[in-house]
Amino acid sequence: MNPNPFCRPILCALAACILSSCADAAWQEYLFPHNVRRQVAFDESAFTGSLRSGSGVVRGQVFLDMKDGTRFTPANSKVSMVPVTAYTTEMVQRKFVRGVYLAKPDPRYFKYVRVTQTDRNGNFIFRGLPPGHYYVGTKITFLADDSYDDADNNFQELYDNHSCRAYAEASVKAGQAVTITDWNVGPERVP
Amino acid sequence: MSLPITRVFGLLTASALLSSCGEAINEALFPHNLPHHVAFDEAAFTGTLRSGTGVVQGQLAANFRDGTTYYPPDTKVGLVPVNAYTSEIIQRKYINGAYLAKPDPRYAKYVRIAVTDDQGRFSFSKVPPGEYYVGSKVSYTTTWTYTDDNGFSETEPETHIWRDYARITLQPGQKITITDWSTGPERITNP
Repeated sequence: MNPNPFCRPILCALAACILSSCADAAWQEYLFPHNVRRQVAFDESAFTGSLRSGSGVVRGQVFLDMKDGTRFTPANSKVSMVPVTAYTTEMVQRKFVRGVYLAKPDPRYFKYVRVTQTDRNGNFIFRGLPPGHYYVGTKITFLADDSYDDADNNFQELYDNHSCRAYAEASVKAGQAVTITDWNVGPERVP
Repeated sequence: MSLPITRVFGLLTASALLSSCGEAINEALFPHNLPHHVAFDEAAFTGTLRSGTGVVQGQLAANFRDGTTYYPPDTKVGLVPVNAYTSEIIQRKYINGAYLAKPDPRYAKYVRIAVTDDQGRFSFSKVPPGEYYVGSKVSYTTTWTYTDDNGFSETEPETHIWRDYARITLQPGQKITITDWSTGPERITNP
């Protein structure tokens, strides 16, 4: 307890002045640990096969159903594809499903990630895939109107990016075209 | 940026009243009231209300990224039998952060409730043997400070919310102490 009741509010006020200069960067920081260590070691041999060229196709549309009944289909959004391995399963289970702030992957990981972009309707396609079992993943970012009335009852206009991660699994046989119609959506993040 | 001193004291008073004004900021856009996939089967619950000789105790704890540990006080902890209905709640609501619809009205009477003390500790006694989930919704309030459209520094409360659960198997007369929790995604809201 502070012995001088008048000391504390002034300190608070001073702190608030200092904080306000960097408010944009500092607001709403998550409390949970970042750079959480992975439990599965990176085993490169589990990935090498996936870079071969094949005749399989995986396509689909990225979409997100909102509570107001609208469906958001992100344009020009990055979609990634990786083989199902112990390493990628940990990533999907912890980072995508549970929202853990996992540490960056092993640097060798990136060369085994196929990447494409959605068109303006959220559609994407991966061609030339060898047969196998894959995860398709994406981070969906959507602008939300988070305007509110502040402590003095003044309206504050605020638009924020909310985001979430979504993934799907696809088993591709030689020459087969698989269409993804459903996504497993992880927790919604507010900045 | 510095504020005139009268303004600062005005702010401090206003912040005390904050909870009475201001509309929701950062409202989650994901669908709410998602229907349960599993139907409520009352027969899977009835055994758990018998009186037994087991004890389930433990301590809620959260390790924050700044290295501190928080032991949530005055927080409800629930104990329910493991069955298809509760497993869905754990998987979707606790782990994946889905906004699941309220449970069947009959569900509540099969939930044993304990409340943590000031060190996050709780205890259930006279529990019959069986498999159980122990779960809790935890919240932690911080403040964030920003500059509003008029150039004034504002401070608002910010509540972080997450769910913890553990799964245990209790033998007759056994005492189990839970200190290890599976933690779901962290959410930030303004009350």
